[in-house]
Amino acid sequence: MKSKYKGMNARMILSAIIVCFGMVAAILPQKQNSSVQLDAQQLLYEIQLKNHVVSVDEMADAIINNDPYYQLIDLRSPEEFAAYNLPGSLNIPFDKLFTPEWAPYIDQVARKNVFYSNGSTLANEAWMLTRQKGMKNNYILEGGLNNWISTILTPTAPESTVGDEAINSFQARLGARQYFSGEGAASASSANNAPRKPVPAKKKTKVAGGCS
Amino acid sequence: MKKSYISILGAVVIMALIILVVISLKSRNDFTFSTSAETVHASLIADNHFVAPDDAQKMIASSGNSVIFIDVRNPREFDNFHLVGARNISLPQVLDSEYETFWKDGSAKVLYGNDTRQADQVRTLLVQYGYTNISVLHGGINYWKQNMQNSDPFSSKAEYDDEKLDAEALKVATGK
Repeated sequence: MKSKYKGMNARMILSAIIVCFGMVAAILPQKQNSSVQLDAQQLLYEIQLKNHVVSVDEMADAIINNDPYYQLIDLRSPEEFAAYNLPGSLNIPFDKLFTPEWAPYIDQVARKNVFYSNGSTLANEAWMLTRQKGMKNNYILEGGLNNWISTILTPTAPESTVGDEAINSFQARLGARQYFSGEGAASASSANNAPRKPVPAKKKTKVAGGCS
Repeated sequence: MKKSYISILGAVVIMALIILVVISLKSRNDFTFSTSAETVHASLIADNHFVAPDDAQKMIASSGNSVIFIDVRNPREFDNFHLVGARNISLPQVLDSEYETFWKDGSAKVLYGNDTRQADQVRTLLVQYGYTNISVLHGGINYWKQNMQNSDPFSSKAEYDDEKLDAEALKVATGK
């Protein structure tokens, strides 16, 4: 009799186990998608990577070459912005960061937004808040305007003992200074100061025509 | 036979529930932000979370001082130079579980790094994560070393707030 039911029991046990594990699997919380839902540990990791920091040399190069991918965003007050700002920048005061008015500019995929303030503390706070909300494509200008003034607008010659790289970047800064403080500055600021509209990401369209 | 089937089924269900409880307890220990970005944003606008270098110096000098200074630089930099009585919790370790009770104990804490931003980003992160009563030493160690160790700390008139525009340098650079 025992042997008669042995196989049946095994099958029943097996089916019961499968059903129960199925139940567990159904109730288990879904694993969060790490690329969308950022947590504190991941933000701490991003802080250390410093991939969100754009050097003043890179930014100067982008402005001079009229690179449409970059969008400078000035986080200071309208008064400070009116007194001095970088060519092509858009004024979104820090306290207006999350207003619906600016949402299309802050939360977008088409451009590389570069936040700046006088230093880099405020811009970095703004960046961390946008990251907490899962927004991408926002960066900060290294050292802010004060670093811009001392590095790009008043470059100092490196020691003759340093390598070619430092000498080359100094040469580039000399050129940039000419651009930002000379005649280039006037035309650049008048031509680019109108902020560009955010461009939504376009879907790839199929090439029309041809033989198919 | 039916009775044994039910008892086996019951045992397996109980086992499954135990597994479920264990898993759910484990996943509670995550790093989800507990303060919303909007709340952190509002507090950054409304409240000053910086401690000026001279105030920090007074805090360190006073005997009845309950403020704890935390150095977020790496251990090598900390060993080289640090503020009197400061504790070293370097940036990569700030979220480690061993410091959880320390951040939660409610006492006033002042973070500092090499510059203002280094400590400020740690503070922002800890506030986003849900900790409170944390400030940042304005100017960090760089300003401290250059100015606060002199006999007359404020003779240089150097600026410790990096968010203050260097209007003089801008004037020189632009001629305006």
